[in-house]
Amino acid sequence: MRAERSVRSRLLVWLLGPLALVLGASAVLAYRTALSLATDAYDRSLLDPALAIAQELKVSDGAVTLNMSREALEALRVDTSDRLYFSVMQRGRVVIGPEIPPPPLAPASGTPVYYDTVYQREPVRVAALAVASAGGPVIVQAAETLVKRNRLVEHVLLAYGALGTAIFVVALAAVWTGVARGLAPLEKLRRELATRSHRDLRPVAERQAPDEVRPLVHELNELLQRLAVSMELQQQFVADAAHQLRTPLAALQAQVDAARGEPLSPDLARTVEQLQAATRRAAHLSRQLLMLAAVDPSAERPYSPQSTDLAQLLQRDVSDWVARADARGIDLGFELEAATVSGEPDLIVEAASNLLDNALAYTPQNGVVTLRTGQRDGGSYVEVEDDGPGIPEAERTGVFERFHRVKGTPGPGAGLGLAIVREIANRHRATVDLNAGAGGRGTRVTVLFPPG
Amino acid sequence: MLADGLARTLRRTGHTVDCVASAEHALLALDHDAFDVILLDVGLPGMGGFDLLARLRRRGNTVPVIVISAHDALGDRVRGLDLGADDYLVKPFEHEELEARVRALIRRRATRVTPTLVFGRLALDLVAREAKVDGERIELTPREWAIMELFLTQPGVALAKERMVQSLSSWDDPLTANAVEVYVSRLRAKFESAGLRIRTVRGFGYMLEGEHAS
Repeated sequence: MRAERSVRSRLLVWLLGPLALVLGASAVLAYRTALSLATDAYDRSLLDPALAIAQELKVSDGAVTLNMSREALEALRVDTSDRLYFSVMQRGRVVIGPEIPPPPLAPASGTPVYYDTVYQREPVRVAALAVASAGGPVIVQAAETLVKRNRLVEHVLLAYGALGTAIFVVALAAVWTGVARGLAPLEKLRRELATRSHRDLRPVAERQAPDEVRPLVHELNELLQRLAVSMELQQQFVADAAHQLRTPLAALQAQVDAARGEPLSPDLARTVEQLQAATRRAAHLSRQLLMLAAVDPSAERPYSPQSTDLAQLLQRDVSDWVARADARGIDLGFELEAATVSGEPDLIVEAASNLLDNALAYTPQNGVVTLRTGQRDGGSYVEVEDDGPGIPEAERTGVFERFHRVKGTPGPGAGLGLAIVREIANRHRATVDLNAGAGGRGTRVTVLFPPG
Repeated sequence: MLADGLARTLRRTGHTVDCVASAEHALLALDHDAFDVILLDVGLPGMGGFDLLARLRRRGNTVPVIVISAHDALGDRVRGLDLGADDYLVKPFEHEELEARVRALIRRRATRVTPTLVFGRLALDLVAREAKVDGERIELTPREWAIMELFLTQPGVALAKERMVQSLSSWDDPLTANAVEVYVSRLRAKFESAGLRIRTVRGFGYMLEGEHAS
C-alpha cells in the first residue's frame, strides 16, 4: 500500500491545478478579445486615410491620377508609432505608390478588405478599398506596421498576467495557512497524545476537535475506554487473587508457627524452617502485589495529597526498620532533615520502606545503610544509600521493571519493591534516580518530589 | 485452620485460649467468661466481625480486641478502630507480631491497675518513683528517671534524640543534645549489669534493648 501524501499537498494539487487551468484559459480568452478589439479599432482608423485618398482619385481615359498635394498626402501618413504606406492599383498593377502585396480577394465595391501581409520584410496590416470607375475597379490600399497593435496586446497580456499571478499566489498562501490552521487541532491532539504516559487512558477532549476530526477522536476514546476497562479488570484480578491468597496464607503461617513449637526430629525441624521461609516469601509477595494493584494508575484510587514533613513522617517506623536491620546485622542510620512534601503519607512511607527492604536485602552483613530526607533543587527527597555490591550501570533502568531481579543476587524478594517505588513516585510526579553510593560503592536511590 | 494454629502457639506461650467459629458463639462465650484479649477475625461467617465488635462495645464490654482482617485498605482499619478495636492485624502475619501485640494490650490493661512499667528485669514504679532491678533499688536522678520512663512507656520503640531533648527541657533550664548523651551514658553504666542496653540508632536517637526484648 502506498503511503498517503500529505493533506496539504493534496489540497494544493486539487485547488491550484484547476485554478491554473482557469487562469490560463481566461488569459487566452483575454488575449483574443484584446487582439480582436485592437484589430477592429485600428482597422477602422486605417480605413480613414484610404477613404480620403479614394475621394481624391480621378480616372480619365483609363488613367488614374491622385488629385492631392504632397503635403496633404504626408499629413495622412503622420503616425506616432507606425509607418503608413499607400498605393493605388488598377487591373492588378500598382499605378500610384509603393508595391504593397495585393489583397488575397479583390474587395467588392463599398466593402473594404483587411489582411495581414509582409512589406519590406515587416509584417503589416492592410486595408483595401475598391472604387468603381469606367476603366474597371481601382483599389486603394493603406498599410501600416503593427507596433501599436502589438503594444496594446502586450499591455493587456501584462496586466492580465500580473493579475493571474497575484490570484495564484494569494490562493497558494491561503491554502497553505488555511491547511495549517485547519490541521492545528490535529497537531494539538498529537501533542497531547505524545506527552501522555502509557498508563494514562483518560479520554481525549472530544468537544474541542473540529467536526471532521471528531469521529476519529471518538473512536480513539472508545478504544482507550475498552483498554482501560480491560486493564482495570486485569488489575482487579491481580488484587482479588492476592487478596484471596491472604486467608490461606495466614492459616499456613499459623500452622507453621504452631509446628515450630513442637518437639521435632532434626529433619522435620528443617522442613518446618523451610516452610516458614517459603510462607514468609508468599506473604510478602501477596502484600506487594496488592500494593502494586493499589498504586497502579488504572486502579482509579483517588489521589488525596496532604502536606507532610518527610522527616517527621518517617520517624514513626524507625524502630521497625532498626529491628529489620538488626536481624540482618546491618548498621542502619538516619539523616532526617525537615522536608515538606505534598503527598500521600502512607504511600511515601511504603516507598521508603521498599527502598530500605531492598537495601537491607542486598547489603551483606556488617554493611551500612542510611535513610535520608532533605531538600534539594527546591524539591524534597527521600534517599536510601547502602554500601553493598551495587547495581551495574546497564541494569539500573531494568530494576524498576516488575519481577526484575539482578542476576545472581541473594534474598527473598520477588523484584516488585522498586516497581512499587516507581509507581508511588509517578503518582506524586516525583522522579526516582538510581546511582552508585558515595565513593562509587553500593547503591543510592533517590525519590525527588517536585517543589510546591 | 488459622484459629487452630494461633491457639496452639498461644497456648504454648502460656496463654489460655478458647476458639469459637462464629460471632453468635463468641457472644455466648463472652457471657460466661471474662477474657483478657479477643482476637476477632472479621471474615467470620454469620454475623460480621464488625457487628460483633459494635455489639460488644454497646454492651459496655471493654475487653481489648485485636481485629484480624485480610483487608488492609485504610477504610477497613479506620472502621475497626472507630468501632472500638484496640489493634488491627492484616493477614498474613508473623506469630511474633501477634504475640507482641497481645502482650502490649494485656500490659496496657494491667498498668491501669498497677502503675508499674516493666522491661526485662527492670521495673519502674510510677507512684513511688522507684526503679528496681530484680527487686533491688537503683538510684536515678530526675532526668535519668524521665529518660527511663520515656523508654518504658513505649517499649521497643526507638526514641528520637530531639524528642528526648524536648521532653526533658520541660524543666526550668533548657537542655542540649550533648546533655542527653551524657545522661544516656550514665544510664548505660547503671543498667549494664541488669542486661539492659541503650543502643544508639545512628543519626536518630536511642533504643532500649533487653535480654527479653519486646
